[in-house]
Amino acid sequence: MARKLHHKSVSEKIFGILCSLKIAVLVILSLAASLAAGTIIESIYDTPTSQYWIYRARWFHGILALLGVNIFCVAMSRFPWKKRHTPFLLAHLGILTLLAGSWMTEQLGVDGNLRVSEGETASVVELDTAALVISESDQVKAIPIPWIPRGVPFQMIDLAAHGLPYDIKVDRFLTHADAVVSFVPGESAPGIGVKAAPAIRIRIVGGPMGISEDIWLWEGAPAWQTVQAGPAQLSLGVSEGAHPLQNPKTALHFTLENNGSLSYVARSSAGSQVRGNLRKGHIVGEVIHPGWKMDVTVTVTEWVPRAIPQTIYKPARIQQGPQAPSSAIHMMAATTDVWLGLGDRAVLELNHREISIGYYSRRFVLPFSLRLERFTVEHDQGTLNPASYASRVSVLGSPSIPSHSQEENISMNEPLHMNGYTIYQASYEDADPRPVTSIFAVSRDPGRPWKYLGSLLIVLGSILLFAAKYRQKISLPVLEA
Amino acid sequence: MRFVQLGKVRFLLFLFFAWMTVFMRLDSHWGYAAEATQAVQHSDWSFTPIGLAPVQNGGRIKPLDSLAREVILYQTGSRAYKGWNSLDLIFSWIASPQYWEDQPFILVGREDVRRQLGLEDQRTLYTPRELFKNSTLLQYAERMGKGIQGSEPPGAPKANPRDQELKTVLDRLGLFHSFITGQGWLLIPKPAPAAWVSLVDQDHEGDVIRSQFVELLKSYQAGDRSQFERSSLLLRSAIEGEIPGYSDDLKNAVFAESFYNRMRPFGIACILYLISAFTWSFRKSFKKSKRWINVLAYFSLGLALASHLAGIGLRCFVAGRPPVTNMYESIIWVSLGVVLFALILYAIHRQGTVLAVASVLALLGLIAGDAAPAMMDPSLRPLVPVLRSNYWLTIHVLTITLGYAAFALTLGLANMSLYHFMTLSGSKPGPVKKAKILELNQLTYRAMQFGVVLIAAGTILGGIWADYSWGRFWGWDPKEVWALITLLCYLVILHGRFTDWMGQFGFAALSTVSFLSVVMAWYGVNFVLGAGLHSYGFSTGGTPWVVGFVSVQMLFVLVTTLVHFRVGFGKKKIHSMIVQE
Repeated sequence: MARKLHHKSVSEKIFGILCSLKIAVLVILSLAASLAAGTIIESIYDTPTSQYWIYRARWFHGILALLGVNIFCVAMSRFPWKKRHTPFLLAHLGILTLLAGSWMTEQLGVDGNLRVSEGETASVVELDTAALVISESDQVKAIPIPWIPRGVPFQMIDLAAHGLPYDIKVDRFLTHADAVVSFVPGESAPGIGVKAAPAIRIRIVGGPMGISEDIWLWEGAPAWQTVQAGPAQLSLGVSEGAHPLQNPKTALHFTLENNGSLSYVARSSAGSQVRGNLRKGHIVGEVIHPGWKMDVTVTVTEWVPRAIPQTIYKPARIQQGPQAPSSAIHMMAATTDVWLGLGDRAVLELNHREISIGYYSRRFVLPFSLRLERFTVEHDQGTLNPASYASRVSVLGSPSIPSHSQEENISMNEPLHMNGYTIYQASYEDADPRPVTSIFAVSRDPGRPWKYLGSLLIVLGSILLFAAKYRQKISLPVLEA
Repeated sequence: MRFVQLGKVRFLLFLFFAWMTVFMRLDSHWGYAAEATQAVQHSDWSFTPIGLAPVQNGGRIKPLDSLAREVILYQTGSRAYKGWNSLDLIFSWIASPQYWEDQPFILVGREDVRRQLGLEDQRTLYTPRELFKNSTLLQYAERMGKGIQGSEPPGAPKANPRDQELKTVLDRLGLFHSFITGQGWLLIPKPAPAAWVSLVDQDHEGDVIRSQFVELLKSYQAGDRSQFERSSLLLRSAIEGEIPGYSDDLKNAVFAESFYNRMRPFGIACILYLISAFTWSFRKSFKKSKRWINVLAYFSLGLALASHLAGIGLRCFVAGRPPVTNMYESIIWVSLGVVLFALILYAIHRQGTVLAVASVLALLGLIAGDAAPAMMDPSLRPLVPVLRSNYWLTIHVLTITLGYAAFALTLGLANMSLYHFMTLSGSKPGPVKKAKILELNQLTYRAMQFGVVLIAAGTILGGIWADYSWGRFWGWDPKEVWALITLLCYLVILHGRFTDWMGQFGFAALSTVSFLSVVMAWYGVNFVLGAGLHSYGFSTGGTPWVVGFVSVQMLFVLVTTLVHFRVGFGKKKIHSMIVQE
């Protein structure tokens, strides 16, 4: 072949190279090697990391594209096709069809999760990518935030570069982040339902391990009014009546009095009770002896009369596996900065305009909604191993059945097909007492027919190919000896 | 493998309880107290009648015989303990607990765990007393009882193997304890989803069974053989009568399982494959009585295959599902596949070598399945939900494992070819030898074709199944990816043959090396990588064996390569015999 090449034009030369068998072998080898690397990365880190480095990387798509081009050129090089080329063509065009179908799935398909609790109705499917959703009055814009593994530098995202008139930049991305909440002086922000309320930070020293612990108490939300610290229950309330010391044996309750002092009442498991009052101006720094075991002392270390919560994020303790928390981003505006964890929303004031910014999973709304009527799990006899689980759902408002609802069963391996979407029973979250939450995988895959066709062609083609070779071979003398 | 689903917190309780009962006197509150301090084997007794009694264990109803075997395997790590019948042994436990406390039969498999526990390192089996007295183990149990609540979520980080082993040792102690106290004998039936009740539970519905069991134990202790066999039948029918909805189908399945346990069809197949391997290898060397050798060759292979098939058939019948859901089953199935492909190739090419190679491979496969029961769990278990009653799954798994089988045959034939390359004399390779090599490579190529078609089809069927079950055709899951890598590796050979990069030797050598991708797809993903959606198949163990196999194979390829290129019998001399076009 090489001898003839210099008579050919450049395009013919390129074509010759592209359809050469050696290129094919090299492409297959490099594909195999990168795939092997992908599985090892997945084993060491996790699935998104392997997707980032290999399966969704540009160069990997390049190899696949090269494979496609190579196969196409090889198929064309046999042109005009004869009957004996059929098996070869079927197998190779099958691969092309399969690749094309996969490409369509990636470009046009959707694949997300739908969570429905028993008795509830849902139609919003959450995807596994995230976006920044910026809204001002009725203008809404979403900017995708790429997921990157830990240790990879984040490319700063400037909202101005996306055609938005704000000087806001997303400058940090934490792949897995833990939220740290503190309380800072501030005023109510009605837009996101935050109202200023008194907050105290207390330090507990002693206890069985002789360690100290810092705890915030804030009157603004029930979850912060009462906090459990080991065996002790700590609470902060306007009056004691709101939080009577009933159940817990070990408790310390603070009350903000009208005269600006902070009174407390402590109760121990031994039955003793200690009352006291921290005068206005002397709240911080005074040591309280609540009469608990092991000589535990409590000190108020911070006192903020009008406080609002501020959440910052730091790299998570758990960075791998299903327990690793989700991501968080940090944004810089002209005068302020804010951390947003996945699912958080903040309201920023820029030039006297209120802008709401949320960091959410991307989602889409199904053309119908599902109500989970009943979720059932069956177990293998005498064990707690689930044998099967199923969801009884009502489909509401589907375009194909607009006026009335329709009841359907979705169980493992028995998906529901509705308006081009397929809904699978993926898993569930048990809750005791009920309701249980059922998790469905929802997908729409326009590439599916092509992938199936390609698969069929590949299998058919390779069987014919080998059958043809078999006939060919057996008609030849097997041995010279 | 866990028998007693001990709540983690109950660990502590049981250990304190165990401490008391084992070292004081075994007191019973269900009407039986052990007195014997000696134990004798009853090797001439028939334990079949009691072995057929149905029990509920591991999420299904099985014969007591299966339970006893699984328990012995779990406790000792091997199928038999000092020649005891496993049923005899568990009856002996409950009849003479004091005796068994001082018998070494509890496996502590890992050397580092033994060191951690300060056990003398010469043995792997220890007595319950040694372990109960071990303060390190007790401390560990205490820590565990406190630390863990509930079960681990799926996909949780793998427990470190040493912790796993410690847990297993505790579990083994707990299991022994439950058998000597009566808690482990879950003989009193309850309606289907509920758990059966043990002998010690306060439940009056089971009084008949309980008293039958006491009768049985009394006759056991008295050494009254005929009374024992009579009581066995009575106890069995008492249990059968109590099972709600105990149909003939279920009864047949229990009988079939017990029959399967006793027959050990794969053991029989092993012996026959050995004979077959010999006769098919040396058939030509016999000058006299050629006819008889031929008869022996055909019969041994035929009977081996029949026994192999019967074993798989019985497993399918008992479990009511296809036989490829764990490592043990797949290795048995792949061994069968190897023989089937060899028969096809033999039918076409009439080369006895294929059958010899296949017999050796099947033999090795069955031995591997049998030899490492601790790693390859031979017990039948219920499937996780995603694997149940699924047509595509069955087709997909059977196809892909048949692909593995074809590649295993490829490996065997290619190794034969390499062996012949190595034994070629340097100066003048005879034409017979050359022809032999070409013939072997030809067969290797055929087997590889089967493999490529099946692995391609199987991978695609896997995609169809995944699409059907999980909602996506392809998700770059490690198991999928390694199946694809396997396919690609063999495609490299099939395409590379047409380039001038690869001669006959290279073809044979690469055909063996490519099997590494099969090892990875089959074993590595589940046992080494341990990531992805095929997590229901994840397990640990056996790594030294697999690494050993891979090393020996690679060493062989290396040696043959060195010999080959030094000898200088190159691709030029016998090139392109099987290269078409």
